[in-house]
Amino acid sequence: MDIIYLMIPLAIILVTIIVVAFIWAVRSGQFDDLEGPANRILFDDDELPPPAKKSDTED
Amino acid sequence: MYRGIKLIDGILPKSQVYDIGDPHIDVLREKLETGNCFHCHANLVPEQSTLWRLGEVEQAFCCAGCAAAAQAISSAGLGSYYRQRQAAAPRAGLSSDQVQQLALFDHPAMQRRFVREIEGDSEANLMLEDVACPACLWLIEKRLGAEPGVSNVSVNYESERARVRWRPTEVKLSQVMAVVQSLGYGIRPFDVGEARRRREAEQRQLLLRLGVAGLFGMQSMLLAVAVYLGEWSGIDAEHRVFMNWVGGLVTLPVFFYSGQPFFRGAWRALRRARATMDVPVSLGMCAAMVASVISLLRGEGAVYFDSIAMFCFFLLSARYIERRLSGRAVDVADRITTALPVLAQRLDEDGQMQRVSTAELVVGDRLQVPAGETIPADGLVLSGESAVDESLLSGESVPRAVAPGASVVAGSVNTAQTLIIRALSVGEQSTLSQLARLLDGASAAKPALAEWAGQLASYFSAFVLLAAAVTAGFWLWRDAAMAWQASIAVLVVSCPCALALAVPSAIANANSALARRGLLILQGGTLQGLTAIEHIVFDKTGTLTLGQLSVGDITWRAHSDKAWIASAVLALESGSAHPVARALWQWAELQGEPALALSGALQHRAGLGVQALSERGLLRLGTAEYLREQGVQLDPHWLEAGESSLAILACDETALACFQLIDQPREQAQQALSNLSSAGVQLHLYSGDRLDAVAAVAARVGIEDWQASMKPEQKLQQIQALQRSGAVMMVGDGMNDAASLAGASVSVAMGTGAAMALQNSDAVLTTSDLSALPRALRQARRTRTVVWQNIAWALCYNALAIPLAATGYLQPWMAAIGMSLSSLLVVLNAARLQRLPRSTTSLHKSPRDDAA
Repeated sequence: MDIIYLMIPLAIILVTIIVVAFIWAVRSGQFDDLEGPANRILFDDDELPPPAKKSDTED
Repeated sequence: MYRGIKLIDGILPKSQVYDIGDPHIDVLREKLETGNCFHCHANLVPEQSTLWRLGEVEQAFCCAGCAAAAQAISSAGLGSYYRQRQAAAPRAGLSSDQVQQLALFDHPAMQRRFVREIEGDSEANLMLEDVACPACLWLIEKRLGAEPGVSNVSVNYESERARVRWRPTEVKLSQVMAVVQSLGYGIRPFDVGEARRRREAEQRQLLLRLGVAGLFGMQSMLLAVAVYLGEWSGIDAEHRVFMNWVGGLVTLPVFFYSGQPFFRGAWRALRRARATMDVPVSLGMCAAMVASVISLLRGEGAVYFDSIAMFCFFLLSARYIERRLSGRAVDVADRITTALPVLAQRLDEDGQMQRVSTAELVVGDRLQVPAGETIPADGLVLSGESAVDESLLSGESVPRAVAPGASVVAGSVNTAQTLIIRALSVGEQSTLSQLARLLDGASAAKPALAEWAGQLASYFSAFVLLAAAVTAGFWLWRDAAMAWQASIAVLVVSCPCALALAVPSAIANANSALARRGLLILQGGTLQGLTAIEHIVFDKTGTLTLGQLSVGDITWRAHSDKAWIASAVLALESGSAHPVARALWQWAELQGEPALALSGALQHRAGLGVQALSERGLLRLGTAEYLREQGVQLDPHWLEAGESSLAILACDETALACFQLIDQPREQAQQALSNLSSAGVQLHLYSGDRLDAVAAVAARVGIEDWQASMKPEQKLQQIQALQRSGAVMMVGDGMNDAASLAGASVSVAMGTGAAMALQNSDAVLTTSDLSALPRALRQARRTRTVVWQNIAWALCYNALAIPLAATGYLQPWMAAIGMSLSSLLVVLNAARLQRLPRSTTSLHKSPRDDAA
């Protein structure tokens, strides 16, 4: 069971790294808008729809 | 070294980066590296200092707080302060008790931006800082209300703003603000941009605290579970001590960082000798911490590190969710006020354009509004023809045509061509700001129920402290070993938060859901009032109908050439913006005939008609009065429907066709009204219009009780009569409805209606779709249910949990879970109101769905 003297400190170090990463993420604004990214992915970047497709739907 | 220097322009909210090649950069760099803060004279720390442009000169500041203070001073035209002052200003970021700085807010030039005059009193929106709970706001409200010279105070929990009205002859604004600072809270005049920034920063910090509590709390819990299981299945004492020590270590950041807001809130409350819900929370956490550390050092006894971490985590997540939800409601109000542009283009006497801050505009300024830009002030069009998009105010998606002489509203968007306007009301006085202020006032004037729940929570906190003390006393006498555990459990398990959140969270959610679907609630008690509605009275024009004319019945002269008449109408009226002309040419266009070629120019008679020469003779189109005046013979039968709603076309002295103009009912009016009557509400239609017109609309939308040709005072009398048999809701739009709106228990104005109607109403309908009304009734009933569920839950939970904790049956960790879940349950129950029930009308396709 002496392995816990290695594993627990390791776990603590790991969680500290995670907390630092989390702090960085919050500070850099990644949590500011939780709804925007979910919606943004649904919008097309292209300004114009491909012309070929348009004529298909009209037919 | 610097790659470039970032300069923030004091007027333009844009940053500008000077590159290394720029000769100016050495001057700037010297200022940044060797100088002192322009505002507070502190030595500059390179990483934190910023350069802002004040007027024409760049200045270095030690922090954004000082820069903002300096900008506020100089943009109010008070820059001479810096030349005349005898000592450096206090560092803005840190000063909370500096009365001399508050005195700046008394200067009229400064006040013009946020103070408004009402009946001789002054009124301002003030932003409160460091507010932790409803009890804090209750305290501020009470203290300010007791200040001599202050006539009215109302504090909004969601936006943490206070609306203060005071008599300038008796008290100064700075004194009012100093009062709040002496209570230990921060205060500043409200400005939307700043509020938004502050809210975001606060939200971020709360998320950080929550994340730290969650991540380290999980470790602490993990180790605690191992120890608990060890007690049961056997564990080496050495291992247990090790795990307890590590558990204590990971709880430290949770306790000292994540727990900070509770300790601060409790400290503020204690200094003022008030009980807020932060006090039992902090006492519980501190007591558990002390007990655990003692056990740890002695090497025996229970540790509660996991309880502390979980308690903190759940409390913070309840607070985080609550802030997020209330943030959504605030967004609705913010969206309206931030619609104003920051800059305006002002034309001076020589016609030279200058860019000025919108805050500097004064009534009478000539402003240039290029196509695609937002109109900065309410005004009158001086030149240019264009169309303005007023969807923000009215929800109407079709831009409205404007020409010289037309009025335009701040916040609407100029869509077609450059307009020159004369500003008639600016800034705080503009329609947009007034609407936003009404909205703000609504959430601040709390319904009696919310106030009651807030006070209950504050008494409850005091009761909990007493109960904990009694418990500790009892166990010290009976069995000292239990004293710690039982009194900690009492403090932890009691949940004033659930009680305090029960009403405001429900109302905030219900209102923001309705606002998103077209009904802005303006007065606090409206939702409560809606639950009791038995009668709904409608106005006709502009309410049940769109207020836009279209061609209805047409009477033809025998054997007339209908196609030729259509093309003649098209030629005469085409493109005109007058409502009657518009209805006529829109009808003519639908007939599919090309416009007739006219042989002479159009001659308009304003408000009467138009004439022009054609191959077949002199064409005239206009009112009956106009044609009679021109010597045209009119058939009396044609005029039976009432002359005011007719347009007649004549060729030479012969009348050819008579068009009846009708006002179209709103889309889905019929559906919405049948939903209302199936909800058990009686519908009435009271109009000032003619008998036949009212009868036609009433029949069309299915209202049985209608009355026509009513004067405003008759309407009011009728409403008061109805009021005796049950609560009445009035829906109207015009100036003539203002009295009736004020007289009804609940009043709804159309967003496109007159300002007077808006002032007197409890809610504003911002879409053209009347189905928002049955939705609001349903939402009000659901809100009432949720509020009572929440209060009942909070009371039952506490009645059950506190005795259990006091008698020692509850372990502190169970108490922590119970209490946090109770708060979460209340907040989540209220969040259900964000989703509106699916109404039958929403099954029909609305034009908006098609567009999406």
